[in-house]
Amino acid sequence: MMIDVERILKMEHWRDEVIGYRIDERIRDRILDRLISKHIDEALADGINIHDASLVMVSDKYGKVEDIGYNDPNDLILDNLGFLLAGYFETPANNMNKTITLKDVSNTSRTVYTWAYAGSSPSASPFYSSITGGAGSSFQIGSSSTAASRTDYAIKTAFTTAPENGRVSTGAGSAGGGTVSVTGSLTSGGSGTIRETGLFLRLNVSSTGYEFMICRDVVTDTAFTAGKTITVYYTFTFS
Amino acid sequence: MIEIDLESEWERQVLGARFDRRLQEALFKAQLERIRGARLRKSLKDFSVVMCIDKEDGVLKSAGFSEPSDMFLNNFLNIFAAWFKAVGQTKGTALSLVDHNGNTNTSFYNYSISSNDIFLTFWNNPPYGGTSCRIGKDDTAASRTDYNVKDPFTTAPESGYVGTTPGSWASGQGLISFSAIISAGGSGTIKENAIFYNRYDNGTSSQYYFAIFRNILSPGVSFSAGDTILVSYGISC
Repeated sequence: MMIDVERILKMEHWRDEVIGYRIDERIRDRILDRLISKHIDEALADGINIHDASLVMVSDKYGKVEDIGYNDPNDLILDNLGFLLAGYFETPANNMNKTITLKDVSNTSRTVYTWAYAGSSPSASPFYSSITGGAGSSFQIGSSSTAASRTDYAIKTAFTTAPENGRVSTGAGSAGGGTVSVTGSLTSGGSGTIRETGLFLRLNVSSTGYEFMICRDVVTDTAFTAGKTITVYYTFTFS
Repeated sequence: MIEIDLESEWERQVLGARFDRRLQEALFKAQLERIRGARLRKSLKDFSVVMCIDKEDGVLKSAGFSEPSDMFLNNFLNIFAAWFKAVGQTKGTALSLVDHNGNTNTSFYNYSISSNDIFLTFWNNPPYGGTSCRIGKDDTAASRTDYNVKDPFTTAPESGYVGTTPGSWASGQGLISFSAIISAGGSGTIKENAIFYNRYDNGTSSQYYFAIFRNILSPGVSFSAGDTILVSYGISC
């Protein structure tokens, strides 16, 4: 049976209603978008902060939703993201260089250029992709429910089975209506309960790629077993 | 710290007072609390305070505060969204930005693989990269599609783009802040301000300014030639 998203979202226990429905992959993103908007609206109605919202969905190979979780609305923008955003505000100057210090996933400080003068070579840019392993964004899930802190730099408790034990590429980000959204998914190799999600940027630092967590969210318990599709959906709200 | 409540008679409390760092911080803090107290505090939110300091005696002559309904512009959202792409050695997609003249620009990429495919952070040939502020005298409500101030002044330097200070991140407050200072060449009343990413296109030898925030001020901030105009900006995270 196909899901009637608009009807479900009008229900008080919409989350429970979603579980068990088969979601066509073609409309999955639209449904997730509506669900996360609902989550944000509910948090706002409760007077809770919600700068970034995340939603995790576990579905079987036929697209049937088996579990769904969403983040604590009080989760924080991490220091890495704060420093990165702040780093782009800079006094114009000739041959300017500006660096910031971010913590990579091993909690090691890395010097990242936000403005770099590099002659005719782009290799100083943090967004330079021609490095081993490339650059871009990724997500990771974990099983710790420890509250988020601005100084978090990695998932607290990673899973032990691949690929959910590592960081997995997201798709491209999209902007619209005052929000920026990004989605990633994986097929689970083992089983467990997701309680945290992280969003990462893999950036160029002196021709080596390092990964930096910019958001860590604690989500309601979301169970999965091997062979399931786990989709993580992030939305940033700007006003 | 001086306590200022923007919902009461703040003008009587601060206008005419000697301007110093404490007063500046108090006004900024009052505006931050006002923004966070509004319904729109639930997201990343930009805001600003514009202050005019009298050239003769250094007192605060006038001050204006951005409206809680002001918003991030589409250029900022598109740049931020471009940070996200699949990890790999490929270049990203061309950004669709609107420059200071209202023209769509697709020259720049989010992730780079060559000198032609470069993100905003890379090139800074004269007249430079960095960020700039501009003030104007129009109070039309902000729209996400705004690309410049609506009605700039005609006298320099307030007619142009003035560099900001570096941004700073205060983890405990969840606050990014920076500012810009203008020594007025003429006179008028400031009702709007905007912040821009500066970007030089080496290929076309063109300087671009991409507006990322535009704020409407209430009340308007009056100034005369020689006065110091201080624009304090924040992003509540």
